[in-house]
Amino acid sequence: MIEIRPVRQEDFPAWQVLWDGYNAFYGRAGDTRLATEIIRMTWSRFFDSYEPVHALVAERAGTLLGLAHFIFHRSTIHIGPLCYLQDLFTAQAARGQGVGRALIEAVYERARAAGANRVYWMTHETNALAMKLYDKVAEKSGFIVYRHFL
Amino acid sequence: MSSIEISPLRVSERPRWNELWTAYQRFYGVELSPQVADSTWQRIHAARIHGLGARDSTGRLVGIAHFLYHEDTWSTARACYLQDLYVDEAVRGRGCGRKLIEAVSAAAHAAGANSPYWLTHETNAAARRLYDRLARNPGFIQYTYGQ
Repeated sequence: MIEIRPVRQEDFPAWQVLWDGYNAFYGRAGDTRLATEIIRMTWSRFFDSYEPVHALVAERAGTLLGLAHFIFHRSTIHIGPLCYLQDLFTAQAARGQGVGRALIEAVYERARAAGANRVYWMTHETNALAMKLYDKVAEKSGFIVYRHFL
Repeated sequence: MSSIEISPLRVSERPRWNELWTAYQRFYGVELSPQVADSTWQRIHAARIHGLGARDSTGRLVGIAHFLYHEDTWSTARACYLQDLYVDEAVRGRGCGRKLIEAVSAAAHAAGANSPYWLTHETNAAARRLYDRLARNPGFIQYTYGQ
């Protein structure tokens, strides 16, 4: 039985293992690891009710199997907030057991409760494995990301 | 057209902003309710969302850019999301879009935020010709759920 719940202070060591695993996937490991101050700030925002930054974890038998971080922000084309699912990760050993889907659906539920009609996220176009799941629970919008140089 | 002036949208520009905002929606095949336009305009003037206008030498509004800041789990600085960019068709190809993007970028840096990012439809070839010159396309695509 997988339980999806908000992250708790005492989860920090187990959360950090997942967060490192996620960041390593995006090339942020070793010398390019996220700075400690970023990790601390992001972690502290999950527990600050003034911050629109939230974390859910998937737990089974006392072990954390996955994480989802999401952020609410304004939009020029909506009155209610948008929900940006910025990070989603399942531990290697727990893949293929519905952890990712359960996390995404839990984010949908929280977005609805917060009045956000849309949840969105980005993934790398080469991330075929993740896209097999995403194609079942969401739609490719056809939009791609650009980032200004500098 | 050589002198394009860029600065925050002015309250007096609402009628012309409506025209550009409507044309932008038409481009994307959507029609937002007047309540959304009212809300967005109000938020722009309450600095919850930011709006820049590009004006030609006669002072006429010919382009708009809307952007906002949001938290980012990967950075202590905020992300700057350039949500909307539109240039009047009559003045396309004269650097107006580029100037707007550069002005958004300058504003983001002045505010201590990271460089702006934006989304465009993969089929928007004309815009991408410009974007490919001043931005990176790191290969991320968007998924959405809901409206």
